[in-house]
Amino acid sequence: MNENECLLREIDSLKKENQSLKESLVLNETQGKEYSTLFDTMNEGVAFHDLVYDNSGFPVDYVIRQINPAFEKIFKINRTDVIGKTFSAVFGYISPNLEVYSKVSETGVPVSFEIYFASLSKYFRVSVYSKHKEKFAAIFEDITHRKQLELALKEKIIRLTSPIDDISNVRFEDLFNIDEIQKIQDAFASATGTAALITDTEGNPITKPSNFCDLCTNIIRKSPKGGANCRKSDIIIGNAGVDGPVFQTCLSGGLIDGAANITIGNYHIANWLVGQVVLEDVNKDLTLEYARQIEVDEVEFKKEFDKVPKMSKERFQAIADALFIIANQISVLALNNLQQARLITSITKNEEKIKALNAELIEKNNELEQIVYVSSHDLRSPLVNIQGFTKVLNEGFDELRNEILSENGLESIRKKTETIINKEMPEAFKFIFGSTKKMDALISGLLKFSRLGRTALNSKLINMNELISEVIKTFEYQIASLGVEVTFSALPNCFGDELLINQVFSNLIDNALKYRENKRKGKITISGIIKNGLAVYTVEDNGKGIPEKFHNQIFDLFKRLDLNSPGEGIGLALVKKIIDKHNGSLWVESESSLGSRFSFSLSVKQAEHE
Amino acid sequence: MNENVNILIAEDDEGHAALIIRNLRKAGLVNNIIHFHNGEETLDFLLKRGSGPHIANSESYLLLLDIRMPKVDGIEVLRVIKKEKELKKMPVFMVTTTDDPKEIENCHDLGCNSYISKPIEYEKFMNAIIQLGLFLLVIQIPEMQKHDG
Repeated sequence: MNENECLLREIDSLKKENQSLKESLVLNETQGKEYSTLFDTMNEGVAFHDLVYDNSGFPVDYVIRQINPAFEKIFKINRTDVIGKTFSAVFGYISPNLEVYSKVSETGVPVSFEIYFASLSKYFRVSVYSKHKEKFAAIFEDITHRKQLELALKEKIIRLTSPIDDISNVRFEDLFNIDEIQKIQDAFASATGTAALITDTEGNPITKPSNFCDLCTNIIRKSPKGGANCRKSDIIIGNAGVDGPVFQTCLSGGLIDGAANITIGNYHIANWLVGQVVLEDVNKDLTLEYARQIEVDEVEFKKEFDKVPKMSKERFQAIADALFIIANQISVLALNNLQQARLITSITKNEEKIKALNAELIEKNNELEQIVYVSSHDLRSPLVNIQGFTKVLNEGFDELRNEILSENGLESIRKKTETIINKEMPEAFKFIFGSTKKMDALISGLLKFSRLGRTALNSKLINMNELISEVIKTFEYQIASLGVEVTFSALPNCFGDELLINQVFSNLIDNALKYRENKRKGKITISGIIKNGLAVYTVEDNGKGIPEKFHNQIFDLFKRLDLNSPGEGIGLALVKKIIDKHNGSLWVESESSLGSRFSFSLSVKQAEHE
Repeated sequence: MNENVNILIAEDDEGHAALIIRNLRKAGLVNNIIHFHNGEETLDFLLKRGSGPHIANSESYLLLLDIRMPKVDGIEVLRVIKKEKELKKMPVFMVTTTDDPKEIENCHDLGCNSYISKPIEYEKFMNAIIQLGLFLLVIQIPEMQKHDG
């Protein structure tokens, strides 16, 4: 019984397994089919390639392994002619994208870029993928239409953004969406029962006529004399009227027309014409006179004339006034549009200028650092000689002196050279050694300073209590021998370059020790707090202090307030540069003879970049 | 060190070269010392170019190499040496005014054996060279002809 149950269960589970296997097979098959349908019907050209390498493993070409119909169509090639052949064999030159392709296949990181094929006059967006070294796939998407729109837009922007005093090349079409203006014009014409049209200042239509009457369209404008009259009228009527709309009776039919100017600033760019209306009080006897003058069929003329809308003079005046208000508003909009476009360009241009200046500044800075670096090394070289050979002289001198002062030395020489060998020469040696050593310290400082500018920050979370203990340890001997009391409270941690921050504290403590007030027991206090999301550290002493007028000079390179005390004027300049490099702030509070407080702030968060 | 080992000094500064030689002698080294004034002269010797003296296969050599030199600098000389099968086992000691950590690292990456910066202070400089001299006294230097092995 049990055995049977087991068997049945096993069969059941096998069945299920079989079923799911079948399903997955079907799924794979459908997926495979779907992929190949996609490959055959997609708009983008797809090609699979194998790279070809030279003897030293350098990619030199690639073989076309598979392409889809879209690719054939785009590049006007036939699948059967190219598969298995190298790119250069098919196209006659090495693919300009070879480097990109080989990089993608080497790194596996997909890349996409835009490219223009002059031979096809087409732009493409190329996306390159690779899952295996030496193989890659490239997908070509035709983006010519988008690129052309971009170019047209660019041209429009150039017209809109030339200098403000040069408006002559700006066109009404650049400032407005003509379709939208057409809608307003059509609506206006149909609401008022008039005809309407917007023309440029030479009478050329910008919009399509709305509501034109057949008299004008089919009879007057089609006759040579009538058409000429119309164009003349259109220009004349559009060229006046700053204070209100202008009116004119047409030369070919006695219809009344009105117009309002559209301007940008003071520059007249278009006219909005309205009219083709017969005023109620018009003298109808003159009508046929017009027909004769423009040499058209009088009967036809009369028939169409009677269909022209008629209205009172007041009514037409009111319509023209409304048009004038609308046209003025459009002018204001036009000016705004133009000013906006120009403002945006000037902002962009300024940004570009700033960018260029910044780049130049960075380059100059790099140059300067390079000069400092090179000259620092070259300045050091002669010093090695001065020190080295002075020492050789000194050694020789010591031997000579010992000889002169020895038992065997001659009394007469001893007497004659006494001042020289006991005072002058030892003094000269002392000054030479002292000066070269100092010069070396200056150059080393300069080197350190320039090196700081050249190297990147190695920013990490710093355990400040550990760091400060280490710093104090290095001063242990000095602190003990000078009898200075150094205390520090628990310090907050921060992010920074540990070596450089160590240098900051070392220099500040070194200064506090150097510039102590001998009259009282020296005291140095190091503290730190978190304030406004920043870690602020302070090194405070009860030393000589710094007069306030020097507070903004002490961070300058080689600046020294007390020329008699030791130092090269580098320590604080280095501190400043390090804190600047961390995007932190550094400040001093000090009163002469009472002591100094140097404080600096650092980030408690990891900076996104240096 | 075998007294037969030749010490090559590539140093454009005559004074520095004189001080180095003086202190090597002071440290007790009696080896043959050859001084080159720039990188090109050094490479001519090592690569057996030009009409001047050339390296001999039967001899052993070590090189004290300055970095900042006219024509071909020390970094370039080091790069060439470490690329040449025949030369790459020759010990190279950088002796230079540069103490830039980056440059030191660069030289080590290129395969220099040691790096000595020339301190201004005479005692330190002398010490460094004497230390080098003492070091040279104890190390074994392969002969050129065995390099291929």
